[in-house]
Amino acid sequence: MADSGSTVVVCMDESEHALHALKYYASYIHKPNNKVVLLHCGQYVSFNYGSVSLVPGNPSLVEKMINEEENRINTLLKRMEQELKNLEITNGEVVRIHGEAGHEVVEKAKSLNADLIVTGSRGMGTIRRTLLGSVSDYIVHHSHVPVLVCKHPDFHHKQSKEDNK
Amino acid sequence: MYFTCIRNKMEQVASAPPETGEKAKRTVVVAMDESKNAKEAFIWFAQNVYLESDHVVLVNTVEPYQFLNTPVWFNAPQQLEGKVLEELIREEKEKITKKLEKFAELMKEKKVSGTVKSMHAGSPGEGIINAAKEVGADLIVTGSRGLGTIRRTFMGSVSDYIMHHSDVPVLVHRS
Repeated sequence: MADSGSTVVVCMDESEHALHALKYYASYIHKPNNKVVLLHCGQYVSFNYGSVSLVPGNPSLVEKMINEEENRINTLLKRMEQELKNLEITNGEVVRIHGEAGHEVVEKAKSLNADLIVTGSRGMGTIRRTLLGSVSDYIVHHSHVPVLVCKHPDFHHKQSKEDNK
Repeated sequence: MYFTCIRNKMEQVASAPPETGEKAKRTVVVAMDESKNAKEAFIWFAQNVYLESDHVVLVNTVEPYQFLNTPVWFNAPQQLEGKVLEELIREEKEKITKKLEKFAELMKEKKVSGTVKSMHAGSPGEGIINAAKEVGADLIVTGSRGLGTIRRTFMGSVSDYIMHHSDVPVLVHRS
Protein backbone atom coordinates (compact mmCIF):
# COMPACT_ATOMS: atom_id res chain seq x y z
CA MET A 1 0.00 0.00 0.00
CA ALA A 2 2.78 2.38 0.94
CA ASP A 3 4.50 2.01 -2.46
CA SER A 4 1.60 2.70 -4.76
CA GLY A 5 0.34 5.67 -2.76
CA SER A 6 -2.62 5.70 -0.42
CA THR A 7 -5.93 7.45 -0.77
CA VAL A 8 -6.60 9.86 2.06
CA VAL A 9 -9.91 11.53 2.78
CA VAL A 10 -9.87 14.82 4.69
CA CYS A 11 -13.12 16.23 6.12
CA MET A 12 -13.31 19.94 5.52
CA ASP A 13 -15.57 22.74 6.62
CA GLU A 14 -14.81 26.44 7.12
CA SER A 15 -13.51 25.97 10.61
CA GLU A 16 -9.93 26.49 11.72
CA HIS A 17 -10.01 22.96 13.10
CA ALA A 18 -10.43 21.46 9.64
CA LEU A 19 -7.70 23.61 8.15
CA HIS A 20 -5.35 22.71 10.98
CA ALA A 21 -6.08 19.01 10.41
CA LEU A 22 -5.26 19.36 6.72
CA LYS A 23 -2.01 21.17 7.45
CA TYR A 24 -1.01 18.62 10.07
CA TYR A 25 -1.63 15.83 7.58
CA ALA A 26 0.32 17.64 4.88
CA SER A 27 3.30 18.24 7.17
CA TYR A 28 3.64 14.92 8.95
CA ILE A 29 1.82 12.20 7.11
CA HIS A 30 1.48 13.08 3.45
CA LYS A 31 3.60 11.20 0.97
CA PRO A 32 4.01 12.59 -2.55
CA ASN A 33 2.17 9.79 -4.31
CA ASN A 34 -0.83 9.88 -1.98
CA LYS A 35 -4.15 10.84 -3.41
CA VAL A 36 -5.90 13.39 -1.19
CA VAL A 37 -9.64 13.97 -1.39
CA LEU A 38 -11.14 16.88 0.52
CA LEU A 39 -14.77 16.20 1.37
CA HIS A 40 -17.11 19.04 2.14
CA CYS A 41 -20.71 18.53 3.09
CA GLY A 42 -22.42 21.72 1.96
CA GLN A 43 -25.03 22.86 4.43
CA TYR A 44 -27.53 25.66 4.06
CA VAL A 45 -26.69 27.44 7.26
CA SER A 46 -28.81 30.56 7.07
CA PHE A 47 -31.98 28.53 6.76
CA ASN A 48 -31.54 27.38 10.33
CA TYR A 49 -32.16 30.83 11.68
CA GLY A 50 -35.81 30.88 10.89
CA SER A 51 -35.79 33.77 8.47
CA VAL A 52 -37.46 31.64 5.86
CA SER A 53 -40.29 30.65 8.15
CA LEU A 54 -41.09 34.31 8.72
CA VAL A 55 -42.00 34.69 5.10
CA PRO A 56 -43.72 31.49 4.11
CA GLY A 57 -44.61 30.90 0.53
CA ASN A 58 -42.34 33.54 -0.95
CA PRO A 59 -40.53 31.51 -3.58
CA SER A 60 -38.32 34.28 -4.90
CA LEU A 61 -36.93 34.95 -1.45
CA VAL A 62 -36.21 31.28 -0.92
CA GLU A 63 -34.57 31.10 -4.32
CA LYS A 64 -32.42 34.09 -3.46
CA MET A 65 -31.30 32.48 -0.21
CA ILE A 66 -30.48 29.23 -1.98
CA ASN A 67 -28.36 31.08 -4.51
CA GLU A 68 -26.50 32.91 -1.77
CA GLU A 69 -25.80 29.66 0.03
CA GLU A 70 -24.60 28.04 -3.17
CA ASN A 71 -22.26 30.95 -3.83
CA ARG A 72 -20.90 30.76 -0.33
CA ILE A 73 -20.28 27.03 -0.66
CA ASN A 74 -18.67 27.37 -4.07
CA THR A 75 -16.34 30.06 -2.76
CA LEU A 76 -15.39 27.74 0.06
CA LEU A 77 -14.71 24.88 -2.35
CA LYS A 78 -12.44 27.13 -4.40
CA ARG A 79 -10.59 28.16 -1.25
CA MET A 80 -10.03 24.50 -0.47
CA GLU A 81 -8.60 23.89 -3.93
CA GLN A 82 -6.26 26.82 -3.40
CA GLU A 83 -5.22 25.40 -0.06
CA LEU A 84 -4.28 22.12 -1.73
CA LYS A 85 -2.06 24.06 -4.13
CA ASN A 86 -0.50 26.02 -1.25
CA LEU A 87 0.37 22.78 0.50
CA GLU A 88 1.86 21.41 -2.73
CA ILE A 89 -0.41 18.42 -2.81
CA THR A 90 -0.28 17.44 -6.44
CA ASN A 91 -2.75 14.58 -6.57
CA GLY A 92 -5.62 16.19 -4.75
CA GLU A 93 -9.23 17.07 -5.38
CA VAL A 94 -12.18 18.69 -3.64
CA VAL A 95 -15.45 16.78 -3.62
CA ARG A 96 -18.76 18.02 -2.37
CA ILE A 97 -21.05 15.55 -0.67
CA HIS A 98 -24.67 15.87 0.32
CA GLY A 99 -26.61 14.61 3.27
CA GLU A 100 -25.69 13.93 6.84
CA ALA A 101 -22.01 14.80 7.19
CA GLY A 102 -20.69 11.92 9.31
CA HIS A 103 -22.56 9.21 7.48
CA GLU A 104 -21.74 10.54 4.03
CA VAL A 105 -18.03 10.86 4.81
CA VAL A 106 -17.83 7.23 5.92
CA GLU A 107 -19.72 6.05 2.84
CA LYS A 108 -17.63 8.14 0.46
CA ALA A 109 -14.41 6.93 2.07
CA LYS A 110 -15.60 3.36 1.50
CA SER A 111 -16.43 3.97 -2.14
CA LEU A 112 -13.09 5.69 -2.74
CA ASN A 113 -11.27 2.80 -1.02
CA ALA A 114 -9.64 5.31 1.27
CA ASP A 115 -6.82 4.16 3.54
CA LEU A 116 -7.14 6.95 6.11
CA ILE A 117 -9.67 9.58 7.15
CA VAL A 118 -8.41 12.85 8.62
CA THR A 119 -10.69 15.14 10.58
CA GLY A 120 -10.53 18.01 13.03
CA SER A 121 -11.93 17.51 16.48
CA ARG A 122 -14.61 20.16 16.12
CA GLY A 123 -16.14 22.13 13.35
CA MET A 124 -18.59 24.96 13.02
CA GLY A 125 -20.98 23.62 15.64
CA THR A 126 -22.29 26.09 18.15
CA ILE A 127 -21.83 23.88 21.20
CA ARG A 128 -18.34 24.91 22.20
CA ARG A 129 -18.10 23.00 25.43
CA THR A 130 -17.87 19.62 23.81
CA LEU A 131 -14.41 18.21 23.45
CA LEU A 132 -15.25 16.33 20.33
CA GLY A 133 -17.69 17.29 17.60
CA SER A 134 -20.57 15.10 16.57
CA VAL A 135 -19.24 14.49 13.07
CA SER A 136 -15.76 13.41 14.19
CA ASP A 137 -17.37 11.28 16.86
CA TYR A 138 -19.57 9.54 14.30
CA ILE A 139 -16.70 9.00 11.91
CA VAL A 140 -14.46 7.39 14.53
CA HIS A 141 -17.19 5.00 15.59
CA HIS A 142 -18.32 4.00 12.13
CA SER A 143 -15.29 4.20 9.93
CA HIS A 144 -13.84 1.09 8.35
CA VAL A 145 -10.38 2.57 8.11
CA PRO A 146 -8.02 4.37 10.52
CA VAL A 147 -9.07 7.88 11.53
CA LEU A 148 -6.75 10.70 12.54
CA VAL A 149 -8.48 13.21 14.81
CA CYS A 150 -6.47 16.43 14.96
CA LYS A 151 -6.78 18.74 17.90
CA HIS A 152 -6.17 22.42 17.33
CA PRO A 153 -3.51 23.37 19.89
CA ASP A 154 -4.75 26.90 20.60
CA PHE A 155 -8.29 25.89 21.38
CA HIS A 156 -7.38 22.94 23.50
CA HIS A 157 -4.63 24.59 25.46
CA LYS A 158 -6.85 27.54 26.21
CA GLN A 159 -9.51 25.17 27.46
CA SER A 160 -7.21 23.33 29.84
CA LYS A 161 -5.86 26.63 31.20
CA GLU A 162 -9.40 27.71 31.98
CA ASP A 163 -10.12 24.41 33.69
CA ASN A 164 -7.12 24.90 35.96
CA LYS A 165 -8.30 28.27 37.21
CA MET B 1 4.31 26.38 36.84
CA TYR B 2 7.26 27.61 34.82
CA PHE B 3 8.09 24.13 33.54
CA THR B 4 4.48 23.43 32.69
CA CYS B 5 4.44 26.54 30.53
CA ILE B 6 7.58 25.46 28.72
CA ARG B 7 6.23 21.97 28.26
CA ASN B 8 2.96 23.32 26.89
CA LYS B 9 4.86 25.50 24.47
CA MET B 10 6.92 22.55 23.30
CA GLU B 11 3.84 20.41 22.88
CA GLN B 12 2.22 23.17 20.91
CA VAL B 13 5.19 23.42 18.59
CA ALA B 14 5.33 19.75 17.78
CA SER B 15 1.62 19.21 17.30
CA ALA B 16 1.12 22.30 15.16
CA PRO B 17 2.21 22.11 11.54
CA PRO B 18 5.68 23.66 11.22
CA GLU B 19 5.94 27.05 9.57
CA THR B 20 9.34 26.61 8.02
CA GLY B 21 8.68 23.27 6.35
CA GLU B 22 10.97 21.37 8.69
CA LYS B 23 9.34 18.70 10.78
CA ALA B 24 9.59 19.03 14.53
CA LYS B 25 10.78 15.92 16.35
CA ARG B 26 7.73 14.00 17.61
CA THR B 27 7.04 11.89 20.64
CA VAL B 28 4.36 9.31 19.87
CA VAL B 29 2.46 7.31 22.49
CA VAL B 30 0.99 4.04 21.27
CA ALA B 31 -1.63 2.43 23.49
CA MET B 32 -0.80 -1.26 23.78
CA ASP B 33 -2.34 -4.31 25.31
CA GLU B 34 -2.10 -7.92 24.24
CA SER B 35 -4.97 -7.76 21.80
CA LYS B 36 -4.64 -8.34 18.09
CA ASN B 37 -6.26 -4.94 17.57
CA ALA B 38 -3.52 -3.09 19.42
CA LYS B 39 -0.82 -4.97 17.52
CA GLU B 40 -2.45 -4.14 14.18
CA ALA B 41 -2.73 -0.49 15.17
CA PHE B 42 0.96 -0.36 16.01
CA ILE B 43 1.98 -2.13 12.79
CA TRP B 44 -0.18 0.21 10.69
CA PHE B 45 1.39 3.18 12.43
CA ALA B 46 4.89 1.76 11.86
CA GLN B 47 4.26 1.24 8.15
CA ASN B 48 2.31 4.37 7.27
CA VAL B 49 2.87 7.17 9.75
CA TYR B 50 6.12 6.50 11.63
CA LEU B 51 9.01 8.78 10.81
CA GLU B 52 12.57 7.91 11.76
CA SER B 53 12.83 11.07 13.81
CA ASP B 54 9.90 9.96 15.99
CA HIS B 55 10.44 8.80 19.54
CA VAL B 56 7.80 6.15 20.12
CA VAL B 57 6.60 5.03 23.54
CA LEU B 58 4.45 1.90 23.79
CA VAL B 59 2.27 2.31 26.85
CA ASN B 60 0.50 -0.50 28.63
CA THR B 61 -1.93 0.36 31.41
CA VAL B 62 -2.08 -1.88 34.43
CA GLU B 63 -4.90 -1.51 36.87
CA PRO B 64 -3.60 -1.67 40.42
CA TYR B 65 -4.32 -4.75 42.47
CA GLN B 66 -5.56 -6.59 39.41
CA PHE B 67 -4.08 -9.74 40.90
CA LEU B 68 -6.73 -9.54 43.60
CA ASN B 69 -9.45 -10.14 41.04
CA THR B 70 -8.82 -13.83 41.14
CA PRO B 71 -10.91 -16.77 42.40
CA VAL B 72 -8.26 -17.44 45.09
CA TRP B 73 -8.94 -14.12 46.77
CA PHE B 74 -12.69 -14.12 46.40
CA ASN B 75 -13.21 -17.62 47.64
CA ALA B 76 -11.04 -17.74 50.71
CA PRO B 77 -9.68 -14.30 51.72
CA GLN B 78 -9.30 -15.20 55.35
CA GLN B 79 -6.89 -17.97 54.52
CA LEU B 80 -4.56 -15.72 52.59
CA GLU B 81 -1.47 -14.67 54.45
CA GLY B 82 1.56 -12.55 53.74
CA LYS B 83 3.47 -15.19 51.83
CA VAL B 84 0.62 -15.98 49.46
CA LEU B 85 0.08 -12.29 48.75
CA GLU B 86 3.79 -11.86 48.12
CA GLU B 87 3.65 -14.70 45.68
CA LEU B 88 0.69 -13.19 43.86
CA ILE B 89 2.42 -9.80 43.62
CA ARG B 90 5.59 -11.40 42.35
CA GLU B 91 3.72 -13.36 39.70
CA GLU B 92 1.93 -10.19 38.63
CA LYS B 93 5.24 -8.32 38.28
CA GLU B 94 6.62 -11.16 36.20
CA LYS B 95 3.61 -11.14 33.93
CA ILE B 96 3.93 -7.40 33.37
CA THR B 97 7.66 -7.67 32.65
CA LYS B 98 7.05 -10.43 30.12
CA LYS B 99 4.35 -8.32 28.47
CA LEU B 100 6.67 -5.34 28.18
CA GLU B 101 9.39 -7.55 26.74
CA LYS B 102 7.00 -8.79 24.08
CA PHE B 103 6.15 -5.20 23.17
CA ALA B 104 9.85 -4.30 23.00
CA GLU B 105 10.38 -7.27 20.63
CA LEU B 106 7.58 -5.98 18.44
CA MET B 107 9.17 -2.54 18.25
CA LYS B 108 12.51 -4.05 17.29
CA GLU B 109 10.87 -6.23 14.68
CA LYS B 110 9.21 -3.26 13.01
CA LYS B 111 12.38 -1.17 13.35
CA VAL B 112 10.72 1.47 15.48
CA SER B 113 12.96 3.28 17.93
CA GLY B 114 11.67 4.15 21.37
CA THR B 115 10.70 2.66 24.71
CA VAL B 116 8.00 0.66 26.44
CA LYS B 117 6.24 1.85 29.55
CA SER B 118 3.82 0.45 32.05
CA MET B 119 1.35 2.81 33.73
CA HIS B 120 -0.80 2.32 36.79
CA ALA B 121 -4.19 3.93 36.52
CA GLY B 122 -7.82 3.38 37.35
CA SER B 123 -8.74 2.85 33.74
CA PRO B 124 -6.76 2.11 30.57
CA GLY B 125 -7.78 5.41 29.00
CA GLU B 126 -6.59 7.39 32.01
CA GLY B 127 -3.29 5.54 31.92
CA ILE B 128 -2.66 6.48 28.31
CA ILE B 129 -3.58 10.13 28.80
CA ASN B 130 -1.37 10.38 31.90
CA ALA B 131 1.50 8.75 30.04
CA ALA B 132 1.00 11.13 27.13
CA LYS B 133 1.21 14.12 29.45
CA GLU B 134 4.23 12.67 31.24
CA VAL B 135 6.30 12.10 28.10
CA GLY B 136 4.96 15.14 26.29
CA ALA B 137 3.38 13.20 23.48
CA ASP B 138 2.61 14.95 20.20
CA LEU B 139 0.48 12.13 18.85
CA ILE B 140 -1.43 9.23 20.38
CA VAL B 141 -2.09 6.03 18.48
CA THR B 142 -4.73 3.57 19.61
CA GLY B 143 -6.77 0.68 18.28
CA SER B 144 -10.53 0.86 18.50
CA ARG B 145 -11.03 -2.28 20.56
CA GLY B 146 -8.80 -4.18 22.89
CA LEU B 147 -8.93 -6.49 25.84
CA GLY B 148 -11.32 -5.17 28.42
CA THR B 149 -11.21 -6.53 31.92
CA ILE B 150 -14.39 -8.29 32.95
CA ARG B 151 -15.94 -5.05 34.10
CA ARG B 152 -15.07 -3.19 30.96
CA THR B 153 -15.66 -5.31 27.90
CA PHE B 154 -17.53 -2.43 26.33
CA MET B 155 -16.24 -1.95 22.82
CA GLY B 156 -14.13 1.09 22.15
CA SER B 157 -14.37 2.68 25.57
CA VAL B 158 -10.63 3.24 25.75
CA SER B 159 -10.27 4.88 22.35
CA ASP B 160 -13.36 6.92 23.18
CA TYR B 161 -11.82 8.17 26.43
CA ILE B 162 -8.54 8.99 24.73
CA MET B 163 -10.23 10.92 21.97
CA HIS B 164 -12.21 13.04 24.36
CA HIS B 165 -9.40 13.79 26.78
CA SER B 166 -6.39 14.20 24.54
CA ASP B 167 -4.87 17.60 23.84
CA VAL B 168 -2.97 16.30 20.85
CA PRO B 169 -3.96 14.51 17.61
CA VAL B 170 -5.21 10.96 18.03
CA LEU B 171 -4.91 8.25 15.42
CA VAL B 172 -7.62 5.63 15.91
CA HIS B 173 -6.91 2.45 14.00
CA ARG B 174 -9.92 0.45 12.93
CA SER B 175 -9.78 -2.98 11.44
